[in-house]
Amino acid sequence: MIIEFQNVIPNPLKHELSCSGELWGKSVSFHSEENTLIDAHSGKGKSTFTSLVAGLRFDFEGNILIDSKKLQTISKNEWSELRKNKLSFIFQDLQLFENLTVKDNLLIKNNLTDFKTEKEIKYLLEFLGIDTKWRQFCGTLSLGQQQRVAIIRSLLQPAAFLIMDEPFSHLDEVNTQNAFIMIQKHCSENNIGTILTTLGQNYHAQWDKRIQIA
Amino acid sequence: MGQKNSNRIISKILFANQDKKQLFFAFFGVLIGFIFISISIHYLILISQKSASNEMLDASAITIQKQVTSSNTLSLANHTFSNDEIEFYKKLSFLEKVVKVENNDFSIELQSNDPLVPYFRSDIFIQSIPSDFLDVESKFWMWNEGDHRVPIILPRDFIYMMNNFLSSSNLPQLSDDILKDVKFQIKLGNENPVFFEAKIIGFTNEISSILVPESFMNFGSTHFGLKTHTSCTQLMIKSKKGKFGLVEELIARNHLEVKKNQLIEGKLKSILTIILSSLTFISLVVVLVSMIVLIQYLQLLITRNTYEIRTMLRLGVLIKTIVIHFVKYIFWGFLIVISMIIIIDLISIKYINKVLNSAGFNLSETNYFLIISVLSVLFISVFISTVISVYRFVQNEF
Repeated sequence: MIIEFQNVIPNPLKHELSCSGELWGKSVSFHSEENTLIDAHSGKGKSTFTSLVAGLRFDFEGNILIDSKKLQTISKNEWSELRKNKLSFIFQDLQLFENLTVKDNLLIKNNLTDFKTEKEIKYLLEFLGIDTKWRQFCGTLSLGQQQRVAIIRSLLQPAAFLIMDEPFSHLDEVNTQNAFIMIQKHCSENNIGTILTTLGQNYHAQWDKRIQIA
Repeated sequence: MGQKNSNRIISKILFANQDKKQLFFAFFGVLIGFIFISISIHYLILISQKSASNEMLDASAITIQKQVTSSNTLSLANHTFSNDEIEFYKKLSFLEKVVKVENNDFSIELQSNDPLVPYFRSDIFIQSIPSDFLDVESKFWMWNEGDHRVPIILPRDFIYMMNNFLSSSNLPQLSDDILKDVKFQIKLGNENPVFFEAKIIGFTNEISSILVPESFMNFGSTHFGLKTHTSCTQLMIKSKKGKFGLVEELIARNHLEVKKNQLIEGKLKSILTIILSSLTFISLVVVLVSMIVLIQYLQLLITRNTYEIRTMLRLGVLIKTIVIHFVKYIFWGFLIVISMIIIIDLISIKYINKVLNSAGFNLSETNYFLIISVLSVLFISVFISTVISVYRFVQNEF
């Protein structure tokens, strides 16, 4: 799968962004065989990038193509299919259901494709140290624990891309490292390309592509 | 298993914030509205059907004639309708149709020709009115020159007279159905008479003469008529729906006569039609308001779950899947309401029929198919409107 950005400038950022960066107003391609790091300071459009690729907003100039298909021409049902089978996201605001337990938050995603068994899901929870929270309501978890639930949820579907918007912002160094290892292992085993937006960290990893947003 | 579990989780998300009181009132409104609609429509149709079931003449039609007074008898006052008067009646806005009732001006006899009844022969008086005043299929009310068989409609008075005659001769009386199979002969003219077979196709309480098709009347007048000018003494008029009160005024103002039972039936029908039509209208408003409340309730439920619905859509849950959950939710509500409506309808109709029967109104033929059809059409409309609204609300969250 290829995601192409052709001279894209988000409307709300039109007057704030300089075109000296490597994303906005430029032609950039993301391939599902690659791991890409997008590095920018706050307010430069990292979350906007995630929202655009997720089809949550269409207020931009230029063209965004997913497998050569313009974003605006993708139907609602096609978007659902993409989100279910091709594009997985970790949103900065986590997008969890606070009134549901950790179990239900994870199963609602996993049940769409029956991607993993309950045992495998519990192993992921254990790996990130939140296996005891299985029956706890998400609203009662700390932000760090919620973020780990959101990370695990993003791994419960088949995908060509995993797009992560500052996915470790609420985690300490140990948990960040564990989560990053888990994601890398999962993506490498399932041939999933990653796009990670960050505030300057590179997580001691080798990136196929680094994009700096000015 | 996964799908079942998924449905359980989606239901838990969507219906955690519901206000069951509002939902109850919405369905209660639908219940009340639909009960009144189905009962009133049922009786509206039953009234129009019932009048016609044993009566060949259209129930909204009446025959009028000028009151017979001493002046008429002494030929001091005219008892016929002039062309100007007929034109005047035709222009009245509350009358749908006005036609002359044609009388015979030729000699005609009816005689029995069947072993079922003793022989009798009588000079008769026949009349004809256009077929659209009769509740009979046109193919049965047709006569063409050359046809041997003539369809006729007998006045009930004639049957009473015949049954009295049979009874006094110690012979069994004849029912309507048997009488329809009895062979009668019609004899036209005195010199070189022509005979026809008379076929009884129905009976009427409203006209005292034997009714024949217009074409037969014209044939008789042409070939056997005395060529005297036949004046119009009776008119048949048909009022527009719910306007019978104005017809009553017209009759009183112009000193007209009408059969009393025609007047009572027409008046009663008119009043009942107005009451039931009003009830239907009010019930429709109640259903409409309830439907709006129901849709607003669902909109509120969706608004309260905006975040949850958006999140599900972002995870890849289909719009259709979410809508189906709402549809299933209201479907159960509708199913309970439908069951209650059917039970309440049947009990109410049975009770109303009992009351009507005890009051002398024979309106007992409950048309269950009709009730179910009306309810189905209304329910499908309300259900589809609700589903479309829910689909739009959910789609807007995408």
